[in-house]
Amino acid sequence: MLTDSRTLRDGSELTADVCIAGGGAAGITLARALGGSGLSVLLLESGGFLPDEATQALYVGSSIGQDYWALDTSRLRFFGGSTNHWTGWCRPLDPIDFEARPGMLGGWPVSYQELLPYYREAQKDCELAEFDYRPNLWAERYRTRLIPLDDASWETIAWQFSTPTHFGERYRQELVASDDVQLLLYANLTQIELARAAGHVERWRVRCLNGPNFSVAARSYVLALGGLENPRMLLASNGVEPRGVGNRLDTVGRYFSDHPHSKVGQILPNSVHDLRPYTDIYREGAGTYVRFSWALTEALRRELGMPGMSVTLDPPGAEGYPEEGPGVESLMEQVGARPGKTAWSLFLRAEQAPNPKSRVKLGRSRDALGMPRIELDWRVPTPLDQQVREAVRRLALSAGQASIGRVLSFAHTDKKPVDAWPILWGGHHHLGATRMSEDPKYGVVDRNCKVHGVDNLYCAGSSTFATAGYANPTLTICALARRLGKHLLEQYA
Amino acid sequence: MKTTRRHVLGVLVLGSGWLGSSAGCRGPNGPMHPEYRMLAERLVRLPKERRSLRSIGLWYLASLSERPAADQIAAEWFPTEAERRRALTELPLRLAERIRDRTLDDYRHDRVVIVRGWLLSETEARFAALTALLRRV
Repeated sequence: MLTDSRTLRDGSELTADVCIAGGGAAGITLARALGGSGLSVLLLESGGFLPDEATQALYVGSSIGQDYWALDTSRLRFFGGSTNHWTGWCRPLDPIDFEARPGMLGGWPVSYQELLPYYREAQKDCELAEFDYRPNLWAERYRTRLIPLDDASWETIAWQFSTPTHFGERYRQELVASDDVQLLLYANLTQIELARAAGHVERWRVRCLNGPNFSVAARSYVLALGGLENPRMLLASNGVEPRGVGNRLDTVGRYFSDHPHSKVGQILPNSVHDLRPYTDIYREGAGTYVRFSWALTEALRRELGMPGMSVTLDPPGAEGYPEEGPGVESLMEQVGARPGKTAWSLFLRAEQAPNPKSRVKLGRSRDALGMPRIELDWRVPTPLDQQVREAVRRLALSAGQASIGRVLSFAHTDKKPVDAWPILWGGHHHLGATRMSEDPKYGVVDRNCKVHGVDNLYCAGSSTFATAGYANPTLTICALARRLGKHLLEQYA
Repeated sequence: MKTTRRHVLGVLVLGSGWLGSSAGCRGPNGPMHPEYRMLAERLVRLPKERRSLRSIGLWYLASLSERPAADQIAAEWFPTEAERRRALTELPLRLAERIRDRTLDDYRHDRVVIVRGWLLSETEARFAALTALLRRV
């Protein structure tokens, strides 16, 4: 069912078994998981089917920490959410990402194995090929040879690319046709109203821009507003709990992270090896693709307590061919290599360890709905600098041993392009600010994504990531939404 | 002085230690064996393109607190008399293979140096240094 909330009567109250706020990857996947179950579901979407300026402006916020993207361009606020502009990179987190690693605050309270069945479903949600990320399998299929880099430090990994699926367009008809799901457009959640005892949500207050105010009452409530908006909503809902909902221990908004991206160097390859598997993308089925890159091995991550990191080979940017290139070529020729005359850029995607000082906070200014705007204080922990240096050094050793090429590290020299390491930027991945932990001191939601201390409120999406590996988050967002769907169905069975 | 069997053995042990070390190449009291200079010049002639190598060599040398001499580098790589002799007579291709093996071994055993951000094997960097030290060859 589809409802334009602007047509509702002011002051009305809608009821359902489950109410979901946010029509992005998490909200749509969860609504689809619940659809057909007999449970009534309300899915609130702030925007319409197309972007509009006034709704998008509700995302304006400020950044006071590490340089970050403008918050109103880093995400989209209409049906489908940020899947309307994602690039489709997909890969599950690695099993080690779920573990209690040093500096990772206990890791995830769920394991990779527990999430695996939901990853398989998420794979379909993102319209990918089969759930298989073994690089050799794909290399055989495309009759290509992977570079024999694999050693104790770095190894080849495979990514899959979604078309990319725009969840709003792709699943709109299914949801509109559903008897169980009612999709409400132009419906902005503005307040989570708790019962006086604080451990139970009584209703949500919802507003339309220039339209009616209404409320929704449900048995369970799920925030699927996005990695920045979930903590914003919890913090702003301070009518009963002065610090906000689920925030007695001051955890909401903390541990915000993104995947630091940076140009960390260049590789002058030995053209004896065909680099194309790492520089090309392989078409797989109707619009999906596969690509190879390198990642730190589990063994090295364990040995040195390193976060997850992957490196893709990108065409050289403005830095062009390095000044010392001809000399390095000459050295390579000396050992029988055939330098390729092109220095590829090494583009890093890293994991950021949870940092309590890296936070989503509320600022003083307010948006058109009267909601406090976000003040983002993104802080990347300092050990990452040493870890990146060591990772690139290990890559150089691996590349040298396998006679693949020579590595120029921007982490080891002051002579480098202006946009190279340690300059880094985020991947528009808003992670961890309502992180999952069984210990309320280190997280906002429990293993079932339920907010600690509130019996009927859940979070969905990347804000619940306990740690984030190096993989882009959408596939894991969908897997977690599927898992939450199963949990809610079991609750009401 | 009476020469005992123990005395002879002691001299042999000390001597073999000297022969096997790069310091030993300098000779006990005098300059390094002149053939090391010849060997260094031979090594420098291996690459086709030397000009660009020289700049890498110069940057590498600038990063060192103590600048090595060309014959010293050759002596490090071929410390014994037998190795030196063989390196002086064998085909350039074979000599290049020895450098390659040393280079790969460096990468395997984490012997890398940083030259203007390039992570190069120690052998590669010293090879480039040879071309800088022996400009006129």
